[in-house]
Amino acid sequence: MLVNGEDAPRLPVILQNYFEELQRADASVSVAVDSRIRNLQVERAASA
Amino acid sequence: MEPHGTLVVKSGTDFRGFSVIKLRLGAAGTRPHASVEQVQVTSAAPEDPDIKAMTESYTAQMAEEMKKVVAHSSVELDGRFESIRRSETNLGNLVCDCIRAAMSADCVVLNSGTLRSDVVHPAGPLSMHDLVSVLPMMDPVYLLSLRGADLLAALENGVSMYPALEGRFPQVSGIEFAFDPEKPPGERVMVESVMVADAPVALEREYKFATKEFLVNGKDGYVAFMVRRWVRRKREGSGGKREEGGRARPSIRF
Repeated sequence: MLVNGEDAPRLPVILQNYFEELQRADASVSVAVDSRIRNLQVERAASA
Repeated sequence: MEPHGTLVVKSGTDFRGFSVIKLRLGAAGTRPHASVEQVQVTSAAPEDPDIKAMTESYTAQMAEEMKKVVAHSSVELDGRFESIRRSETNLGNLVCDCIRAAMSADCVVLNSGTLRSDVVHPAGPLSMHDLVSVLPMMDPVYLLSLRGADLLAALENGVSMYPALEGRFPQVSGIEFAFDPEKPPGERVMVESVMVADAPVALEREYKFATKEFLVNGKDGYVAFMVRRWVRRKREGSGGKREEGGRARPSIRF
């Protein structure tokens, strides 16, 4: 499989494949915000 | 137009017009004579009943496809521009996590402008229409080998326009970082905070990195991704081993 060029997977298809996996497993999408991008200005305001 | 002696015809966009090109061939070895008539498509043109029936059939099929439930979500998914272009959201995390898993990458950066729905998708069934509204473009996704220093430069670009509702704001997977908007653009990312694949970023290390073609081409200011090496895999039947490629263009095949 090439990962660049014409054979590169398409972004919506990647999601569709994941959703199909979930449906086969009878599972739901469950995803959270987990502080991978922290805004220090917002954090300072929250703690002030 | 006839630049460099080559006839070029552009008929407009979105099927609002077309061109009738007539070629008259002359003697062998001579250039054919070309004439071009541009035709505008307006409501004055009569409907073609065969074409109308065909388009109605496809439109009905498309409408049925769009209704199909593709997944169920146990949580709301936030795709609002006011959220996703200023902060991490769970919809951004979902899309980036899917890319990372599909591409077996260490990390992913995606510009928020990719995610187009501008709504909160309620918990419950997600339809094909929802998926298309989030990701309306069939963006190719690539796997690159990228230095930590270039990744850091990309993150700086991603937060450089904050708090503007800029599509360059990043959504990420396999990456954690903090940024300080009170600092000048280009100095906002706290280097000591940047984690890649659960370890502090190593500026000289090459990471397996996935993103979409738009950014590989340096769009939205992501010129750091233009300094990259492809991670390439041989076609099945030729070993299936991953190779580190030299600098290459997307069209290179082997």
